[in-house]
Amino acid sequence: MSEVMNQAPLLEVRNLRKLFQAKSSFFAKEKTFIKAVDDVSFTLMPQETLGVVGESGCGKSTMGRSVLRLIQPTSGEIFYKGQDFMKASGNELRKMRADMQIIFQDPYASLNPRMTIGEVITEPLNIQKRYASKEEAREQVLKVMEVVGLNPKYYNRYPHEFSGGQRQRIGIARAIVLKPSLVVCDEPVSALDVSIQSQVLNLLRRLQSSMGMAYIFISHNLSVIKHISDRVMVMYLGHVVEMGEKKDLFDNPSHPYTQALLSAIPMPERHSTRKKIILQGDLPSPANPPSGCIFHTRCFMAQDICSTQSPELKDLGNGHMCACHFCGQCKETQ
Amino acid sequence: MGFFNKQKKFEQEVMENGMQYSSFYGDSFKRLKKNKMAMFCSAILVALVFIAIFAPLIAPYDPTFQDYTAVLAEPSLAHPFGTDEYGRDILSRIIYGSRVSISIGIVAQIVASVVGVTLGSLAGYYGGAVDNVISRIMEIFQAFPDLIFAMAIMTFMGKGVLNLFIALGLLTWVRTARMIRGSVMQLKEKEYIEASRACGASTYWIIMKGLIPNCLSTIIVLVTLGIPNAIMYEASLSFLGIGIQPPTPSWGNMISAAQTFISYRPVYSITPGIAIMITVIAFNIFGDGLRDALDPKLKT
Amino acid sequence: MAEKILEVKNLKTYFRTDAGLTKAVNDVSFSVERGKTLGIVGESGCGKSITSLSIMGLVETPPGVIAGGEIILDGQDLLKKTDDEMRAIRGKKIAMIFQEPMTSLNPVFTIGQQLVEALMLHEKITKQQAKEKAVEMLKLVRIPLAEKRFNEYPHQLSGGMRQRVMIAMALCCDPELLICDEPTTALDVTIQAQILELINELKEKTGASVMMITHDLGVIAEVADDVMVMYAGKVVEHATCDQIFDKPMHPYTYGLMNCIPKLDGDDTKELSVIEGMVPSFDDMPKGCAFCPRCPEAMDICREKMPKLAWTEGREVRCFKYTEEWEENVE
Repeated sequence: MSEVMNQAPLLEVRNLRKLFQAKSSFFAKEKTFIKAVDDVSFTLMPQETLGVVGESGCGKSTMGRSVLRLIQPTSGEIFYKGQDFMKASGNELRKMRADMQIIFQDPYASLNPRMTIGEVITEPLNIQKRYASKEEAREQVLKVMEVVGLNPKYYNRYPHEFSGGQRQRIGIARAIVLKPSLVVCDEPVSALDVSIQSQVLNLLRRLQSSMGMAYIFISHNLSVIKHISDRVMVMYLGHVVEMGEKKDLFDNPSHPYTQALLSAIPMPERHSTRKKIILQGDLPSPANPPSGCIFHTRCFMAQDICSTQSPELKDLGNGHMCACHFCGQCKETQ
Repeated sequence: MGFFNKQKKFEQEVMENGMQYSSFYGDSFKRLKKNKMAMFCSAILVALVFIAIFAPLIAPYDPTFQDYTAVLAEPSLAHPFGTDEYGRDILSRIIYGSRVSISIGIVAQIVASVVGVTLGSLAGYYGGAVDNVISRIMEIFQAFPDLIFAMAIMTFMGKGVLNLFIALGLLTWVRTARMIRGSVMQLKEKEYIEASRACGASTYWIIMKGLIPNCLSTIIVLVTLGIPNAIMYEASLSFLGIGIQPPTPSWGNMISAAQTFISYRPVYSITPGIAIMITVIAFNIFGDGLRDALDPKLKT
Repeated sequence: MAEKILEVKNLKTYFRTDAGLTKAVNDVSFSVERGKTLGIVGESGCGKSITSLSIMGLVETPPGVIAGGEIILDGQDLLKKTDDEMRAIRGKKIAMIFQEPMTSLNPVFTIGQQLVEALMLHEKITKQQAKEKAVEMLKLVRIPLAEKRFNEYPHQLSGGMRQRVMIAMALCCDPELLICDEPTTALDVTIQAQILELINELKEKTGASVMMITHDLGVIAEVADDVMVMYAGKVVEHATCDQIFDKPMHPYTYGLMNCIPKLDGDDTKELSVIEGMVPSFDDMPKGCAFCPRCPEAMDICREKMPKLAWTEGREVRCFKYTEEWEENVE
């Protein structure tokens, strides 16, 4: 661990916020904002995998895209390899972008249907003008196709001729062809069949160790997150509610939401002795978030203070952060 | 690497025997071939273009040759469609007239499409103020009744083929722009566009390599269906006397001239009318067939 | 011997496509006992959804065709019913809830109107009575402020709420069989837990039988009494839930169980995989459909399709458990 500590962080995100303006009537005096990402901060070391988990509306996808400035953040600071990413523009921005890529969830929408897969994977090289000659670029692309498990023979085929798992491999090939240091994986296996998920997860892990990339791995599936992450961040309605090393978070979930998430996962085993926490109610609307603690409307431990005061992220030791007034005091799931 | 080799071998076996190589346009062409009516009309269009190009070789007479011995003659072996008031062979004038109508239709439509695609994609991609300005311009153009608008332009600018192109182009670009704007607004949210942006692609790159190719089928259909419109407009303007000027034969100005003699020699006005009708219908049916063949909903 | 509410025998549903004949459901037989839940597990292309649509009579007849078999509900063969008779049965005796509640609910009518419509279609009651029953149903599925929600439109409700409305609509005429086609796949995991608990509760209350179709083995473990595993249009294993999780016998079943990342699994090692992909319908392997991907495939698997046979108290379609296997191994 000490070698990791001595390295400079790859990515530093501080107080990232993204607000969307909700469509209000022309005559409304106040504009309603949707706080998709509300004050998120974290650090990512090189070759580390940060798992981001949460349910729909928690802002994890928005956060992943905001970090890459595919969605312009409303405020906050992003430092990539020490450089101020928020202030970059023009050529500098383009160069920085080459080093951070994204893999999407939907294998059917993420590939241009009018391009052959060879062209799809070559596109980043062309945009970044990496190679002087077409032959060099083609060679590079064929190599990458082999690495991700695609038969180089399919260079001239179109995306619609492939299955979901293969299209996802094409998307991965496109993301790694520029040899980035950071890849944001936005639910890359959620749309795939179970038997293909494990193939793709193994591929992602293998690529990470052979190419030395860091991942921000976004998923709603805690089992997948546990398998692939080093550190985990749990989000709820745009806020970070718990964050820490994987072992700390899974062995000792401190935030009630994390505990509920863990217990809600249906386990493929009979007669499980886990106690189920079933949360009452639905996710609150992001345009109208609860006062005080963001989770208190569904929390099984809520007290008076929770509806008035919003808890700060407390460090419980070893970087294990939790945003709850009663961190770790609930031992429901033992 | 054992895993990859086994995977490759398996996929190779399945794919080689299973999947056939297919491209979007290849599949579309196959679908088009199945549409007998559309293929028949495409044959008519090919014949029309052939006639237009080889008019001097096909037409029995010079269209401007005036034979005063056979003025307003009945259809006969020498003059299958008869002659007009100057003794000019109507069949030859119709054949030469195809040059005018078809070339004006195609060129005007292409010009309109270039303008429409450019403005439509800029409006759709940028949104905001750019979209507002371009949309208002589109609305202003659409507010005028087509023919009167064209008449106003021609009267203002004076007669001439170039001015005719401009007038026709200004009439038809809005429809293309509207459709492209809609398509672009939809497509720019797609993830593969986001992927290009993530690699640092410029706006030009995204529009030209990402958005337009996916609109190409819309554009092709708009052009194909826009040509008969342009032909109709040209015919109307020429009919009103502000389009193609005699002695150049145009189907429109032939019908106009034939008006005076409509009860005496009806074949004079009917034959150019039929020519227009066949051309317009053939383009429309072929365009519809093309749209069905290219319809992306049929392919995932 | 428990009473069977539904018996499907040798069901064959085929589709005519440009590529040929797709055997989406290829000789499937199973039964559902009264008051019990049958879980149908499989991945994309295995035919589980088409099976349920065939039972409901919702397969579009060109290009689909039910090429054979019997579907016996309460002693009557559904495949021999006319359209009108099926319409009377759908909703009344069998009800179905789908994966995407947004597309299954009509966006231009309030949920109250849709519930009342469903009720009045099948029962001879007045509109007022239907309204009261509808509000009762909404309360049954634990929708808070049911009277107010009655007048809301689908888009005003969250995904979990909409799925509850779907369940209410399905149960409002007291069906004997409820078919759930991936009802929780599109929902968040905390909402999924609520919905599964609700389905279990309602099953106890109303005594209906449930057919739960899903790709998630975790959901199966929670709700199913019996489990049927499908692959490429055929049943490959059919056992009780306990049997399946204690000792899965078909290579596909235990392959599937092993390749799911588990919360208590060892995450330093790679996940085990089932190599290859589901074969496409126009390119089915000769012999066992799973053999190209099976780590234990033998020559006989490539030649012949194994039959569904009884072994150790459950049905498995694999040569491993037949006499021919021992001959091969030698």
